[in-house]
Parts: sequence; C-alpha cells; structure tokens
Amino acid sequence: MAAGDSRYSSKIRAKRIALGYFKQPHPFRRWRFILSVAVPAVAALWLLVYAVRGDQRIYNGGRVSTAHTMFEKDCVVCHGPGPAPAVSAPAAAAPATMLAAGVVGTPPPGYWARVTDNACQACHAGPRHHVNEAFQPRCASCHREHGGRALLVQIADQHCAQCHRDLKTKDGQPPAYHANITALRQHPEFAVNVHEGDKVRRVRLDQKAELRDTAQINLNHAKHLKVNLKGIEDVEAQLGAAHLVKAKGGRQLACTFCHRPDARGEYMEPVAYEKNCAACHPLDFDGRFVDSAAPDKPAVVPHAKAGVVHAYLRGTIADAFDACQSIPAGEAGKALRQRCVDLELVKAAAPPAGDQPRGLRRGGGGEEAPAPEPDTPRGLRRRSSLEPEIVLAQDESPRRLRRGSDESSGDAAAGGAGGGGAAAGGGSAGGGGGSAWVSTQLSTIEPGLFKQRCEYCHALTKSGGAVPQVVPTAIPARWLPHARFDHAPHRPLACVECHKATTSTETKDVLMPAIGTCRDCHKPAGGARSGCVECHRYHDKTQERDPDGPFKVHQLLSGARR
Amino acid sequence: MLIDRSHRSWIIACLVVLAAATAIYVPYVRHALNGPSGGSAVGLTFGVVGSALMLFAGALGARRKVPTWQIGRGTFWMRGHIWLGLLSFPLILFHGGFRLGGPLTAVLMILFGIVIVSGILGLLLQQVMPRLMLTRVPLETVYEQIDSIVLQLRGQSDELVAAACGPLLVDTPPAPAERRAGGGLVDRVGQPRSTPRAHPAPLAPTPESAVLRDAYLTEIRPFLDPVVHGNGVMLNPARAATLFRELRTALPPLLHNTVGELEATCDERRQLRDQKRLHHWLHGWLLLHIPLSLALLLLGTAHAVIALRY
Repeated sequence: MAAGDSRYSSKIRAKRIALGYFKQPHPFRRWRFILSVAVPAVAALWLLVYAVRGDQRIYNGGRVSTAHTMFEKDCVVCHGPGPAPAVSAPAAAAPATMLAAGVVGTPPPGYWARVTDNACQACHAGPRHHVNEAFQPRCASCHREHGGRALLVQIADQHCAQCHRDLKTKDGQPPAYHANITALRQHPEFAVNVHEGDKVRRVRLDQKAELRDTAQINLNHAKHLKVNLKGIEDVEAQLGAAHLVKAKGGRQLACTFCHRPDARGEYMEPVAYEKNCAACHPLDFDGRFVDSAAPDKPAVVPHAKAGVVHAYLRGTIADAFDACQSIPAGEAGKALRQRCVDLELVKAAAPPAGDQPRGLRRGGGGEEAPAPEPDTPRGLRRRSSLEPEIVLAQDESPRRLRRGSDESSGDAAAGGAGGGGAAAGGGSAGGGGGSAWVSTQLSTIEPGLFKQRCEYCHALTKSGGAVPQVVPTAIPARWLPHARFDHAPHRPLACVECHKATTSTETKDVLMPAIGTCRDCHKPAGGARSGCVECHRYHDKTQERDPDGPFKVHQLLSGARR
Repeated sequence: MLIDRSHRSWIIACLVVLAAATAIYVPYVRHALNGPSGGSAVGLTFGVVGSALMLFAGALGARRKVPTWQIGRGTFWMRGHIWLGLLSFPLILFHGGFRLGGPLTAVLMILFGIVIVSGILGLLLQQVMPRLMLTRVPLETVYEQIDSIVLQLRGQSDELVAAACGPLLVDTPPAPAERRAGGGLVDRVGQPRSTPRAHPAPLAPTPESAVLRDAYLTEIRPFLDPVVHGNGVMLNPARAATLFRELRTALPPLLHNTVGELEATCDERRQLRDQKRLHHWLHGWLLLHIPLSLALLLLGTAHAVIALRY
C-alpha cells in the first residue's frame, strides 16, 4: 500500500478534485432524477388513461362477482343512492322510473357513498327471511362484493348465527325453530311432517316411536329391490334394461326405475303410476273385455278416482254388450263373436240362422236362459277358454241399452222410447236385459278390482254401498321443505347409502337420511362444505320479483346516467 | 445511517405501537363478519395511521431538498424515516387485511413492498459498506471524480513510461480546464494539473526498456482507462504482482523505480474501481427506493380519495 507515500497526502489528493464537481451532471444523480420523475409520471398516466376511458375498475377493492361484472367499470351504479328510499323491494316497477329520472346512477355528493339496499333492490327483490325476524341486515352486510369471481350467495355461517345463535322473534314469542344453531354440528336432527288426521306434526327422524310415513301408499321397498324380482323379464321386454342393474345372483330394479331426477337433477320427480308402476301392476280386471282402441289388448281401468274407474267399468261393459248386438258376419266378426261367446252373450256354436245373439232376440224367452250368477266373481280372471253357453234373456224389451245408465235409469228407460234397428245378423238390443247384464257384470268385477288392484297400493274408505273412495295420497314433494337439496352433486353415491331402502319392508318407514349421514361427508375440517347456505336460503324466493323487469338495456348497463 | 444506541427509543416506541396494533387487529379479524376490510372503522384507522407514517417518511426527501427548513435535526428525520416507515408497513397490511385487493391496491402493495425491502437493504448496506470501504479503499476519493482521477493517473503513468522508454505514440486527450481543490498558487484554471511528484527526468532508452513499453501498453495502460473491460491481468492483485516482479527481473535496476511507481498507480486504480463498485451497492438501492416512493405516494393519494368516496 502506498498510502503512506508523501504523494498521497491529503493536499495532493485534494488537488485532483475539481472544485465544481457537484455542479456537473453525473450518471448516478442524473438517473435518480430521471427515474424520480418518470416513475410517478407513468403512475399518473396509468390513472389518467383509465379516467379518460371512464373505467373505474382499477379502484375496485377486488374483482366483483360474476353476476355484477357488467357494472364493475362504474362504481356509481352500486355506490349510488339507488331508488328513492320509499321504494320497497316488491315495487319492481318503481326503479325504472327512478332510473329514467336519473336518480340511480347519479354520483352521490361528497364521500362515504355506501352501497344502499335500494341500489340492490333496483334489480333484486331481496324478499325478507321471515316476517317475524327480529333483525334484518343490510344487503351488503351479507353479500360482500369485491371478493373475486365468487358467488354472492356463499354466505359465511356467522351471518346466520347473528340471529340463530339465540333466536328471537319480533313479537317476543318463542321461535318455531331450534333457537341455538351456529354451525352444522349444532343442527338438530331433521324433522318431517307426520299427518295425524287433519293435524300435521313435525317429528324428528330420531323419534322412532312417533315417526311414520303417512303418505297413504302401501309399498315395500325391499321387495321391489329384490334380486330377480318376479316379472323383471317383462319389465326389460317392455321398457328395456336402462333402469335395471346387475346384482349378485341376477338383476334387480334400479332405484331410478321409479325415482327419476327432475330436469335440473336436484330433486326426484313424483312417482307416477303410469310411468313407474303400470308396467308391472296393470289395472286389468277381466280378460274378456278389450280396450276399445286396441281390441287385441285386454281393457284396463284408468288410474283415476274411484268414480271415474266406476264409470269406465260400466262404459266398457256396456260397450262390450253393444258390440255383441251387431256381430259382423263371416271372418270379420270372428274375433268379436269369440269375445261375445266368452262373455256368454252368444252361443259358442254358430247357428245356421245367423249370428243373432240369442239373448237379445225378442221373444227369446222360450229358450233356456239361465240368469247370470252375480255371486260368481269373474272379475280379474283373464278368461281365454270358452265358458258354457249362457244366454241372457230376462229382458224381453226390444230396446237397446243406453250406455252408462245404471240399473234404475235403465229400468226407467225400459218404459221409454224404442231402440234403433238391429245390425247385420243381430236383433234389437234389449234395454232391460242389457242393463241387468251390465249391472251384474259390474257388481262382480268392481269389488274384485278395488280389492285386488286399488287396495293393493291405496287405502280405501267404504261407506255404505257406494263405490269405495281412495284416500288421497300425501307423498311429500319435498320431505324437508325448509332446506334445499341437490341430488346432482351426490350422484357418485349409491342411493341406498343415504336412503336405507333395501331393509325397508314397512309402508310406514321413513327413508330420509338422518343428519348424521350428511355429517359423514359435510364437515368443516377437510370435508365437503358445511355452511348453512349449503342447504338453507335466507330469502324467500317465492317472493322474488316478476321476471318482467323494469329496465331497458342501456339503463341496466349505465345506471341511467348516460 | 448507522443503527446505534441512539435508535433504541425509536425502536421501542415502534414495537409498542406495533404490539398495540396487533392486539387490536387479531380480535378484529376473529370477530369481523366479513373478515378484515379496509373500509371498516378499524381497517380505516389502520389505513389513516399507516398513510400518515408513510407521508412522514416521505417528508425526509422534502426536508433534504429544502435544507433551510429548520424543523428538527437531520438525524431526527432520518430516524423517523427509518422506523416510522418500517412501522407503516404492518399497519398498511392490517388495513388491507393481508390481501392485495384490486388493481390499484395491488400495485400499491407491490410498490410498498419494494420500497420497504429496498429501504431495509439500503439500511443494512449502510451498516457494512462504509467500514468495508474504509479498510478496502484507503485512497477513497469523491465518487463523482473517480473517472477524472483515473485519467490523471494514466497521464502520469504515460509520462513515467515515456521518460524511460521514449515517446509512446498514444492519444492522450487534453486535460479539462477546471479549478481544483487543495489550494496553492500553481493550479489555476487552464494551468497544468497537479501531479503527485515532479515530472520525471528522461532516461536514455535501453534495449531492455522495450519490455517495459510492451507491458505498459498491453497490460497496464488499458487498466488505467476509466472503463475497464474484461478480466485483464491487472484486475487480479496476485497476477499484477507477478507481472511487476517479472518486469523487475527483466529490467535493469535503473528502471525499478519506474516499475514501482506504476505498481502503486495500478494499486490506486484498483482501489478506485473497488470504491466505485461499493458505491454502487451503497447507493444503487436509491434508484428504486426514491422513484417508487414517489409513485407510491401519488397512487396512495388517488386510492385514498376514491376509497373514501366509495
């Protein structure tokens, strides 16, 4: 080191320094100055460009939700006063007026322009939660914007717990619901409606003694899920194998054979006889009667009220009687003749004289005509073999029976005007005899039909000699009406994981899963989401505003300011 | 600024404020229905206090630009700049709930982060670099004059070698006419500049002096240029010492003094190079810190106005 050298004395070293060096530009100082001007200038330019474009997105505290993306450039649309405070939510038409007047979308004076409920209610009705709720929060206190492209309906449990932690009502009465819930773990067991006469009582699923299905339908789930259920081949032949599943030892009905998701996949469509039951449980009653629309098929009664069934039966029997009064000759009438023989309305052996039904020939009383045996239940037997010839000849009246008339009216008609002419090969219809035959058939078929078909699934009430009435079914469209459920996200699970149908043999079994089943998956720590809003909604969506909204497109986009 | 015992009260005060702010923030976060928000009363308070501290830290620049402002001592402002500026960062994080937020707030937080990190880096460098410079650069000079002094050293060396070996036939730019420090009557504007010693007496060139000329022109003189490129022999002190040892072996004793002068000049040049590098480290962070601080204050003001409005 030469520092000790005399030539490195301070004086000599100082002589090297130019006196005015600090006045001269130097790269380091120059760059510091340039950057100190340029960087803030770039920042100011950034703000300016957005201001000129009328785009306020850079000032957002975070991205707005997907539904409100269209408004994110203009803070005033939401941070304005909204419609006049007097405008309530259901008055959906009022905001349009306010928009037209420029009330909505007008920059608020001064500072602290919070999002008011009126601004939200310009588009959303926001119906209140409960008429008796003690506290109604502001829209924006629950629906927090600027939280990214999230759904605003994803509300944290704390919001619900504000009230449900210690539920109070506005009128001071005890709440109808569990009063202390802050999270799923504190949620009480689910409850379903149990009908007791005219009363409906809420019964929790863990109250086994009181819990029962009061839907008025007899059904054995376990039997329907039996492997190789009797008739499953017929089902496959009729409906295909789409709703059959392979099981150990054969095949069985899939749950979806009867329970099919609705269009949105959230809930199951109501089980309907025609769609879900008719294939295995046809409502046939007597093989001798055929469907008028398809004569090669046996007639089946409609799945309708008892009165309708009764009327259908009477009409079908009367139709058969009428048809047998005019049997075409030759091959054309062969099938009909056979049916009429089966119905004992004509003799089995064709007489050379023609195909006149003997029982209906006027003056046929000379022949043996044993009266039908009302006590012989023929209903529900599918008769294919010929019965011994039975000739109906009690009634000498040449008049034809009027369809649908009961015995009394038939009798009354018997003394009235005469009937029409006989068809080819047939004589005139005997009014009194036909009516009696119809009544006899009806009285033998109908009880069996109600007993063996209707009562198989339905509860019937019988009063006097009238047609029994089917007790109206009460299968709940939704078992848990205070919550919502979406089957679609749960489709990876087998139905019987939640609904214990394979072990349910009793009609009274309620197959709704207990809350513990939900908690198996829905848990705060590392499980499926367990927030209140997963199942419950705050707003009563039935009170949502009319779909015919109040805004024009430009009003909606601009808040009517432009 | 060195962090010494005089900073203790500042540090303690800032830690107390930080602890109090944390004690407010934690329960606030736990009980806030929608989580922390800059728009809530607590969040807004953090924002206002944090912004005030940022403004105070930024006022240091203004204080320096206007030294006639006699508002407190410079050390007071610098300590406040360091510690209150540092304290403002957690307060602003509390204000934003540790979220970046939207585009403007995200840019603000990024800028703030860079400003704080660069400031901390500068503070750490200031604890180390001056001492390092003192030991590694005993011939430290004014940073802005390093290039000028290097040119002076090269001129001296040219004279030395020309006196021993004859004219070098190299282009030497004329020295700029400027007043220099150090007093005396000789050095005035337009006069020849001072030299560390008297002009060397010319020696009769010898055949061996060609070795010195070659070594000077190929290795030593490029090293005495204001901008040194590559990794020449002279950049490495050990290799440079070997070169000068070989020159002494090859040259007659008469030229050993010249070799010694060149070796000392190269050593000084190396120190000046080290000083320049250390200076860049010591002050380079300001190229980030100051411009970004200004942008931060500008954008922060815009954020405050809009946020308070909506």
